[in-house]
Amino acid sequence: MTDEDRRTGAAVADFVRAGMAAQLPRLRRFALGLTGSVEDADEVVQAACEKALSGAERWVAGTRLDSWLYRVVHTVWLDELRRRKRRRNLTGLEEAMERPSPSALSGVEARLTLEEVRRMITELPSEQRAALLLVCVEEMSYREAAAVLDVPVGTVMSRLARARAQLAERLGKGAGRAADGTRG
Amino acid sequence: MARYSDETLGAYLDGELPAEDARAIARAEASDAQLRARIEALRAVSHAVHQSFAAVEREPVPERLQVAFDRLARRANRRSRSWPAALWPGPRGRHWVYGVAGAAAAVVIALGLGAFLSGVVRVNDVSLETYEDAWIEQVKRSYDVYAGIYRSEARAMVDVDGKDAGVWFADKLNRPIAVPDLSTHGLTLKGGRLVIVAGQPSAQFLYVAEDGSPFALSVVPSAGQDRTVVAREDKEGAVTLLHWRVKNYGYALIGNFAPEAMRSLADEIAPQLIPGV
Repeated sequence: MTDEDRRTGAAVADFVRAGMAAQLPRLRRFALGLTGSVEDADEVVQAACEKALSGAERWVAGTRLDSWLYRVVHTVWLDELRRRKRRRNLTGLEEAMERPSPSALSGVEARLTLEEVRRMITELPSEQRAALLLVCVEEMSYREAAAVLDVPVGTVMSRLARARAQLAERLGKGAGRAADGTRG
Repeated sequence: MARYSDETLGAYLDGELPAEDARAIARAEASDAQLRARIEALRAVSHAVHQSFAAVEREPVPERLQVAFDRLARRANRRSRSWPAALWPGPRGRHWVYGVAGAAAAVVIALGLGAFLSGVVRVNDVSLETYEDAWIEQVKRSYDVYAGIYRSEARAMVDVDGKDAGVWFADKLNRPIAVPDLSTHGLTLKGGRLVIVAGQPSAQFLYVAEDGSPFALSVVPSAGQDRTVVAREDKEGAVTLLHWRVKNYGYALIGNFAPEAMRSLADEIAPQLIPGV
């Protein structure tokens, strides 16, 4: 490696580091949407920072840094889900683990709140959730979201459609409960 | 109801359909109540999802996470600079900022971000708003560090002395820069620090007021509409922050001044800071 290579490598590392500092709030928001928990989100972002900072050379200069960072966050979360699943050795644990318990749901306020919407999002399958967050919260195009998730654009579309359909149904019911003044 | 899949309707709402297809749905929507209701339901989902997370981005990063990130960043910084310091321009063994300044310049060259050289920041994918938010956060954090050290040790951590600051920062920011003399306001210049924001160098001039309280002026390249002035005060305790943007540069004042006094100070020094005026 030449001195110039080293300088360029250090410059890229600086760029990644500074860009990541600027993106921390957004990465944290994405992680919160994925994990449904502030504690988990911060753990995921921290692990993603470590991964990105130690592997800054993997970011391809000229491509979008934020897309790469989102991808690292998403990968870290998927790895964490797999790790937890292995540790507990239970098939389908992801769903059980990620979803609020029935007792928790029974305590949901009838009135629709932003917190409740977040909870509904947390109940979606993780791949649908990620697509929904990238497009509806992070305001990415389908192509950008597909690049982050490493799937075809058509897959993003179908995941989004399923996520929206489920939420539309649940929001409709929630709104109905709110209108009735009943609890579900 | 016209037969459109949820995928197509979603793409319609997200602006991802070809114009002709979007127009066809818009026409159908006008005359089909069922379709209109479905589109509204899906639109409500998008709105609710967006709203439910909108505030999170504005929340301060938790201290624990910020501390962890800073620690990781320092470690990565040391690792990426594990070759002789003499390779970097600047005095031998000088503070790391010389390396960062060289690195920032190398980024510009390596990534083709020539916009920086024209005084306009386009930090690849970092939006102007995000960039300026990051900068303001950096201004606050740097001030806290400066104030903390100065109050405990009566020592200003500077990269360059006051008398050399103008020339040094003119080189780093690629523009002529005047370091305002604020002595008539009881502020003594202690020197300057280079602060990297989203990969770009910014200057921070450090002053001390007569009562011993620290004061700082920050200058950063910042793309935006020329002559658009953006001023905001963020009073935290006794500290006032005031910042504005003009001619592709952002400026910030932070210190133990009342908002009115800070505004008057800004009015007085702002013209001195604009290159070519």
